[in-house]
Amino acid sequence: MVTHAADHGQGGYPTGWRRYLFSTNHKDIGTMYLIFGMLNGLIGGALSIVIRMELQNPGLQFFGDPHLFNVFTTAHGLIMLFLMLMPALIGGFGNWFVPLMIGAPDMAFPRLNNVSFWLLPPAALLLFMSLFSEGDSGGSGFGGGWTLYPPLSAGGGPAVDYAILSIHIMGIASLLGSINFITTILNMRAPGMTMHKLPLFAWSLLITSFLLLLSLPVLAGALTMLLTDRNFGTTFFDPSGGGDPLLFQHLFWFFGHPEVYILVLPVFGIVSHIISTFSCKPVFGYLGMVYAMISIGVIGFIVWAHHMYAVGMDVNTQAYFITATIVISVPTGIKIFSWIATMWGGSISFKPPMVWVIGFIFLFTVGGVTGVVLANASINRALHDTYYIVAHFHYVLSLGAVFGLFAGWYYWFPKISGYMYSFFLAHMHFVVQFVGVNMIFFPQHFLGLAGMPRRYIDYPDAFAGWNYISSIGSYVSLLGVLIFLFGVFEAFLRKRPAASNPWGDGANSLEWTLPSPPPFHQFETLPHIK
Amino acid sequence: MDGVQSSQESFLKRRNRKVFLFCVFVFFCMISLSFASVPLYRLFCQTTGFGGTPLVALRNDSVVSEGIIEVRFDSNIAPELPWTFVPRERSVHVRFGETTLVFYRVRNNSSRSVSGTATFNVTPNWLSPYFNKIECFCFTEQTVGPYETVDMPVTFFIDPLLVREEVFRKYQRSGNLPAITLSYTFFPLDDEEAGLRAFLNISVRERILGPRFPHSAIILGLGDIR
Repeated sequence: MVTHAADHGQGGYPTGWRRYLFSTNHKDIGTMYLIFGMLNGLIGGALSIVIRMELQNPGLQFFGDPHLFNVFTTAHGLIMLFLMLMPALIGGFGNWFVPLMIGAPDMAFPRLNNVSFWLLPPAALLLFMSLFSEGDSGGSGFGGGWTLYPPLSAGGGPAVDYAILSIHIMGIASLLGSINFITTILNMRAPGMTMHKLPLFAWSLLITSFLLLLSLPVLAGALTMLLTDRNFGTTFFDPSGGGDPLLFQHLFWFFGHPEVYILVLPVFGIVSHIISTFSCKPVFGYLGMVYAMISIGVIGFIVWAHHMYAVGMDVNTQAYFITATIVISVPTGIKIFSWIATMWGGSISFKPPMVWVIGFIFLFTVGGVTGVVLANASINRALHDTYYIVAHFHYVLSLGAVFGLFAGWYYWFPKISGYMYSFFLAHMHFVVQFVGVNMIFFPQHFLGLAGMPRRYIDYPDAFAGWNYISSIGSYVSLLGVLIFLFGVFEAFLRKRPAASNPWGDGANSLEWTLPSPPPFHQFETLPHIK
Repeated sequence: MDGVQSSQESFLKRRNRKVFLFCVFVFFCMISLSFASVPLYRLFCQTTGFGGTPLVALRNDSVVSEGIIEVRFDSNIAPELPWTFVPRERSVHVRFGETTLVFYRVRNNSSRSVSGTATFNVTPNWLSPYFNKIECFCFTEQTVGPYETVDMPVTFFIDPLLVREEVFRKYQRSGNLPAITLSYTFFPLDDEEAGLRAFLNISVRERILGPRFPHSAIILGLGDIR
């Protein structure tokens, strides 16, 4: 690698805008992904605050046109999934720490890595353009939900096409990224690092990448059919020409269900590292953890129709999907119990990352329990498209995955920036955020059980009480986000230097052997793993 | 030392390329699978009668047997189509294996000639594998002149093998046989779109289902499964 660098005259590093626009350095690209994810998280979060403001009281408050409300929820979903969680978790932390953890000098295809990132801003731009161009039902923007079901997505103006193309580009970006991760993890591990010694975060990224590789082409296919249906007269999803709108749902959820594991598996990896670090113990049942993640990934592909119980499937099909879905709780349970077993008897220090992770385990378990409830087609018939389902997927994604994201942030921020943040602010961020998100989403279980449907701008007065509390919760969590931003600002302002390993003996993956921040090119001589 | 390192590097490059090509291969497999799902999904429904897709038969070879079942007729029409569309009879009682002919009446309420196609479905779903259509107006596109009234035929029979069906026996024992409902929905068809569809959809379907299927069945992608 030394000769490689010398050959191309990259002994130093490019400066200014060239350093980022032309970047082939996994750490710079990771940083860009993190910043990109953070900015979009703020936009998506702002949309959700407006949604909660509207729903705070019955009647129409802020939106003259109910269509615009649906546009907001659609955009909130798409932005949070594709432009916040995926870039931050996979692109950001994945790029930063997979090469560091496996002892590689960089990713396998650094230029491809650059393409993966720089496809995202145009995709985001298309999505934002979609908000301001003519969509379905005359208003601007696409309001058919992030799932883009036809016939909702079959008509309407260019807003729908922009959204579809935007998702296409994000898909290409993720695909290239996942190919890069697979190659890096399979080929570039340091000598002595066998697959069974691979850190769990790298394992989680490997599995995530395989899920992306297998599921994204199916989404791409479905979206292409949708585009040709809209623009070139095909009738894949149009019954008048012999097509079937249900086919789209099958294809979409064949992607969509693995997608939720794509979002949460990297978090599983992060959580394992943090728990082991702050319990000063190696993770309990390493191999069990690895194979639990693999089986979650595999089973994730054969449960898609549990999103579609209400379409009129026959009983036997429903019985299969119920069983397969509930089976997923076995490997997930293995992971939860292994985390708890890792903590058991450890010398736990409640530093911010650990606190966030414990919050994650609690919230993810709540979301998992409601997931088992919803897996049953009989109950699902009543709860389908109610706020119960909204509460469920926000508990696993917005609270589970996002708490994991913050845990990872507080765990690796000193390594990334070289500065230590204020523990007080980080703890305060946790407390406020924890109270806020539970206040938003716990009452939504009650609303859903009482029958309040999702994707409506208004609701009967009977639902007013819990909706009010839910909205107050969203303001509390907004305060949490502000504390977070202030914490980042404060860390860069104070410039407290962080040690190469600020977390003590428990942190024993390779990234902590490097200085904080790591040098521009690391592992010029490859480390040997015993 | 340099030589060793660069040979290691080119070795790594080759391995990386292999993994990359493997990933690209997987990508193409999955994307072809997603497109293949369109004809496969259709074929699966038609072969098994899954989800209420009635079967198409060339002729009725079955022996008329004892049982009698009620067949009801339902008609729906897409809002853009200026037609009235009703069955001549609301329901008929048929013997198993008996070939039955019924008519739907279409009246064009506009002053121009309009074309349409009909989609169809049979409920309850578990009965649809035994519902066979020999001839149906839904197999082809229908054009109705201005203010014209047309009677459109459907020829069908119920497969006597139905009596061997477990669900059917359960109903029979309980003494209340369900009625079969045959439902149609007419959609408008404009010429430009029809041409495109013929080019894009049907040629693909014809290649997959093969040329041995009768022409009218190919139009709606229906093969003879007997």
